[in-house]
Amino acid sequence: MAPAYNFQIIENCLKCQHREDHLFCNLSNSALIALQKIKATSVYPKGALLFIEGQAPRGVYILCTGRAKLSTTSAAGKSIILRIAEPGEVLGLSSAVSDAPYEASVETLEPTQANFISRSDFLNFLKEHADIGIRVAQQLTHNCKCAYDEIRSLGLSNSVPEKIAKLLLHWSEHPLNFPKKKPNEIAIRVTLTQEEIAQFAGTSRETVSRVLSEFKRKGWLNIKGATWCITNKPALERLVTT
Amino acid sequence: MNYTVVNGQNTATNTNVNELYAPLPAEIRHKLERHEQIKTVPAGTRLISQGIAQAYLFIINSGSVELSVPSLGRSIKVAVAGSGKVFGLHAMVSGEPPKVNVTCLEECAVTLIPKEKFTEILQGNPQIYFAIAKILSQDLRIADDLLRRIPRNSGPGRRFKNDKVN
Repeated sequence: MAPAYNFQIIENCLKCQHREDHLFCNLSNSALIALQKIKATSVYPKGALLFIEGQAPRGVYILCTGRAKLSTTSAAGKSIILRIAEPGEVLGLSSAVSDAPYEASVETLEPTQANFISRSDFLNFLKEHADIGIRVAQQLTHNCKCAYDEIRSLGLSNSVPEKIAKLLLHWSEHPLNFPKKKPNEIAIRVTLTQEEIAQFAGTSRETVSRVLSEFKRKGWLNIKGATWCITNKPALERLVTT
Repeated sequence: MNYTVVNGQNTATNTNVNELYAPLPAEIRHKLERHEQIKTVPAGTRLISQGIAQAYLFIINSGSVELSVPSLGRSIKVAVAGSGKVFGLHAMVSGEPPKVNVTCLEECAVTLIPKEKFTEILQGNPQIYFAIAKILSQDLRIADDLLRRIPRNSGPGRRFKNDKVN
């Protein structure tokens, strides 16, 4: 029988094939054995809310497979996407560490496996295993770096085509393992709607639609459902100033 | 008591115990204190420069500093901080050059701890990472708060040649 959602559930962290690729999961065996005892594995469909902004921190979610969007509400009352979390990331980390409400809402973008650890178990785990503290600090440093990059990017008043080109180039760092029609083609899976891309770029859905049509017309991009093919990466790179 | 001012919010901190030392046991604090160098620097001194490898961890004892993100010749202010605030942890953890600038807004008394000494003590006392994680969490909240406040309307920027989009 084929697995639901077409992915395998990873029950045992010690046997996970991805653990060395994931920032948080590359732990010592003793830490992984302890982690195995305190985590609860769950699978969520696309569109599931793991937690919402302002909620008291119940714990953390380790994203095993799938991606999730972190969104918040701007001062102007608009929904904005802070970033997309990739597998291996720990969600709700800063709130769990500082015992402050969750800073953003997290919604799955595709069928996702996330391992939940309650805050008290996570803090004990952190105190008992020295290598966890390093991973947590590295993850938080990475998140800060992403936030500073976003601040820098917003301060540049980039055009919408530039912002969308940046997003496409960022996503192209995680290409699909897909048979290429042309040697330089990069296939990516885009599960964001045009409305969500607009929330990322700070523009309207209509503008995103026009920009994507322009990219397609210029032969830089092909879109077939959720599979997008970047056919002219250098052209997108030239559009990006920073 | 003194106050660290971050984005207009006052956080009470003890003048003698900064945000890194406060949760640490005395034994580890003493190890760090042995390597401290205390300096007074004038207004305008750049403690941390984006892209330039850091040689020290900085603890602000008095005065105020500005944390900013440089962006094509401009500078976007993220926060103003005062005594008790610690800077340079990001680069210590990641080993990468800093992404931000930290500049003194007035004459500041600053404690410096050499990077190699701090790293050495960190390796021998990994419980320091929990204190670091708390500080980084606070830094992330400040950055995310700014992201909420920055208007996201696109400016003119660069467009396609002859394009009609946007």
